[in-house]
Amino acid sequence: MSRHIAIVEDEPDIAANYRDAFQRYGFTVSHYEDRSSALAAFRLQIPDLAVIDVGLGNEIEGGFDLCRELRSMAPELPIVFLTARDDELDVISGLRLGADDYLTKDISIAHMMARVNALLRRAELTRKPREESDEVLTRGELEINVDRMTVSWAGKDVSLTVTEFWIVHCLARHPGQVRNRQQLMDAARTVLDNNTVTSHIKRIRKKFQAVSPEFSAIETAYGMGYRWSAR
Amino acid sequence: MRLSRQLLLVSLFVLVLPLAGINWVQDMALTMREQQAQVLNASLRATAASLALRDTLPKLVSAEGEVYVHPSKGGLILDGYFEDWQAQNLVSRAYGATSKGTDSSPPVMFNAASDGSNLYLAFQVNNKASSRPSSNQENVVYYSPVGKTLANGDRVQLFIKGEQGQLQQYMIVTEAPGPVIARTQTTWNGIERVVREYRIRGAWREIPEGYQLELMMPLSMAGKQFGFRVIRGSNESWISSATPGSETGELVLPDRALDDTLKHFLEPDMRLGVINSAGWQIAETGEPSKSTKAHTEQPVWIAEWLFKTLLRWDSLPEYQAHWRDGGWQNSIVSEALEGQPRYLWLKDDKSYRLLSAWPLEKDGKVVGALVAEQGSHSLLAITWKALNKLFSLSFLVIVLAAAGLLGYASWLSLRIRKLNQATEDCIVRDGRLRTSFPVSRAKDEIGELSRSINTMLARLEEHTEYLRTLGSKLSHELRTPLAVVRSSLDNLEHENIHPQAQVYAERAMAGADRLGSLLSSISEATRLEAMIDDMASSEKEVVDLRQMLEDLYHAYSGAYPKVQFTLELPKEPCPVAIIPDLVVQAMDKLVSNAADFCPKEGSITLRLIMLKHANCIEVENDGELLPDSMQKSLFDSMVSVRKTRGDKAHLGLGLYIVRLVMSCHNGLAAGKNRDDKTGVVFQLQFPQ
Repeated sequence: MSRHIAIVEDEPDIAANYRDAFQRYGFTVSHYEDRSSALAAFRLQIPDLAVIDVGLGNEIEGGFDLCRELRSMAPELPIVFLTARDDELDVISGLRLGADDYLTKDISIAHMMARVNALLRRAELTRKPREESDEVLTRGELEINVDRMTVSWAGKDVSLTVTEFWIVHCLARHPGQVRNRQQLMDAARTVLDNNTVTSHIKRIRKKFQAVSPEFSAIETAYGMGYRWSAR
Repeated sequence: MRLSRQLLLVSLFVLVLPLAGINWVQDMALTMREQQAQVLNASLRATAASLALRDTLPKLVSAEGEVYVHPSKGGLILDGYFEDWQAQNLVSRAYGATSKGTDSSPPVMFNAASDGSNLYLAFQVNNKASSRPSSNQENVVYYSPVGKTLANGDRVQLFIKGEQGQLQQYMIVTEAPGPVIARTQTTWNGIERVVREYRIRGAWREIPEGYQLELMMPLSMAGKQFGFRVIRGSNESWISSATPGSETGELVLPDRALDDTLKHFLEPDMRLGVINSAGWQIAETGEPSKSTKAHTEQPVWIAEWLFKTLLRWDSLPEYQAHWRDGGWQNSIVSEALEGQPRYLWLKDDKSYRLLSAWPLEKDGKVVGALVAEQGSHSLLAITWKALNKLFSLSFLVIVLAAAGLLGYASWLSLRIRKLNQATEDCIVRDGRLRTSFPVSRAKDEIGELSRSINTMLARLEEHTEYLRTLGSKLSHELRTPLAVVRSSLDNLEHENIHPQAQVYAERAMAGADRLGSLLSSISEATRLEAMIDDMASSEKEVVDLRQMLEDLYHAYSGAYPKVQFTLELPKEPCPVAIIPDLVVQAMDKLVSNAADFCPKEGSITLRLIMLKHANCIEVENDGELLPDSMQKSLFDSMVSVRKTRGDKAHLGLGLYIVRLVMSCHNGLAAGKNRDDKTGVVFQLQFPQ
């Protein structure tokens, strides 16, 4: 059974392009132009994944509202924000609403696909019980379940977005090695500018610090990038 | 010129105020002068009328060869010395022509005085005056009894005409200086004989120029007409008091009865006199006091000068001592003898006198004139007082007005200065408003100005805000169509297209990528600002700048292989509280700039300097200099000094980001040319 992806996007050209791309990969795609029609459809059937534009027609933050409602209907549903707005504030509020990722519209379709696939896989695995065969990476207190894309620190789960997971995974795979920004971007399958990498790192540190206040495993190598502490 | 100074200058116009006052005082003083003259004239008219009623008017005299007799208080001593005469201010009269070219006294000085009972005569004969100075003749020739009887030697002949017209002659001759007795020649029984007249006696004294003769006779002897001849013994020439062809002239005696009458009409500070038709003063009374009370309260010299100039006191004719010498012939008062009342203001040292004359008429003929002199005490006192008051009042008004204007000006300029300061405080260099502008509620123009500045600032802020967000808005708006292009191209890759078309698709993709990175860098500054706002408060950590710079040195050496990097570090570690991510970002911008401008095989120096007040990171590179004009605006948004366009997009945001980072650290960013003009130094200062 093909996966069902819902695209809520008021720009028909973009929606059509994404729909074509998704269909090419064998997904079933529904496209909704505004919040009300999307919500009506979601009430009938919850899709496997939702790609939502933040600005919907006249509703500047219609996407956020939709996300909130959708999240309340389906807590496990992967939701990806796709937006032209890349303000830090928008990113934060989007992620706080429970979105699994926040992408700007200039992301390439290939990157998008990688992300969607990862999210779908994670959602699928989350529903299944944990298996021994899962690839797990352990670095001190850090434990990364690569298959399920989950991260824990000192036994406590740290909830990361897909982008953040990839960044952490990239850093932790070879502790002590400096990863420059480009490498991190490639790992996260995205095109970001330096500041966005910085803010991602910042957010990741915050998330770990929320679990363990003295977290300092991600070190800054000035002028070069970041590394996972080898200690 | 400052506003307050301008207003102070304008306030000088208050000075016209005293001018009006001075004009008024001037008018007042002139009117009062006129008035005083009128009053005095009226008083004189009454006096004249009264004199006429009392029948004490002087007799009509002819003005030929008259001899004037001064009134004397008595006490003249017959000794041949005239100091007693001078002590009584009796002025003698000159007779005979003074020889030209010499400044010697005239040949004969004659004086006559009467104390009411006796007539005193005084002669001073100067023999040298009429003869050549070189003449060797004897000074005084004395009478020789053996010569012609009573007709040799220096002598004085007196002619006295009584009431009945009989002429009596007396001769004063002397054989030697000393007491003299008048002699007269009478025919007694046909025999010419010399008789001594003992009632006329005197003293003869020799002086270097000639002789002095003082005579005394009873007034009753003097008669009505009188004359004298001073005869020189050496050449028998003579000088006479009378007109040629006659021996005598009118004897003008002081009229003591008239004196007493005049006393009744005397007013304070007044002198009253009567002159006869020949212009001789025959009665006089009163003595104006010279020291005037008004002068005790002298105004300041400038006021006095103004007073004199403006009231034209200085242009008055000088006071002349007619009262003393008794002859009024040459004064303006004598015009009264022609029947017209006259008055005149005179200047006497520092006081002023009103001289007025009123003709005395008898049977339609002018027989004399009444002369009055009055001081200007009251007038001066009043004008002084008015002027003083005027000056003090004007001074007060000027000071008050000037102070008021000055205060007002200071207040105004204070408000304007405050407004100016507030405006300057409000705007930061990049055009954003720092604080709210204090709006004045005053209803005047300055208040309006303040309000319009406020409106202007608000509009400016809107505009600045618009410009500031333009970048991010633009990038936001462009991102959607870019997404359409990009996703379309992505899809196109999966279509089966001609290889040639594939090339175009790839080019389109490259263009879209470039457009994408351009949009990112446009909004980078805005996002950085947001990030700084987000981070600035909390996340400073203490970092060793030395360690950090060393790390950066290694990183940059790898990142820019074409450029030679050098590192200059102090020996001690340099811990500073910073946000390392931001500082590194700023350093990235500086080094990227430096590398772009650095010529091939040029070098970039990273340097850490520890100063007392700040720690300083310097990035120095060889290459193109900064234009002088740009050095200040270097760190502004959208300012680029690059001449050539590289392949990378340069929006002039790099140094602006550096500035944002530094201001978030309360530090400074500065750029300047190297002293030897071979390159550029950029400096980041972190205050300690």
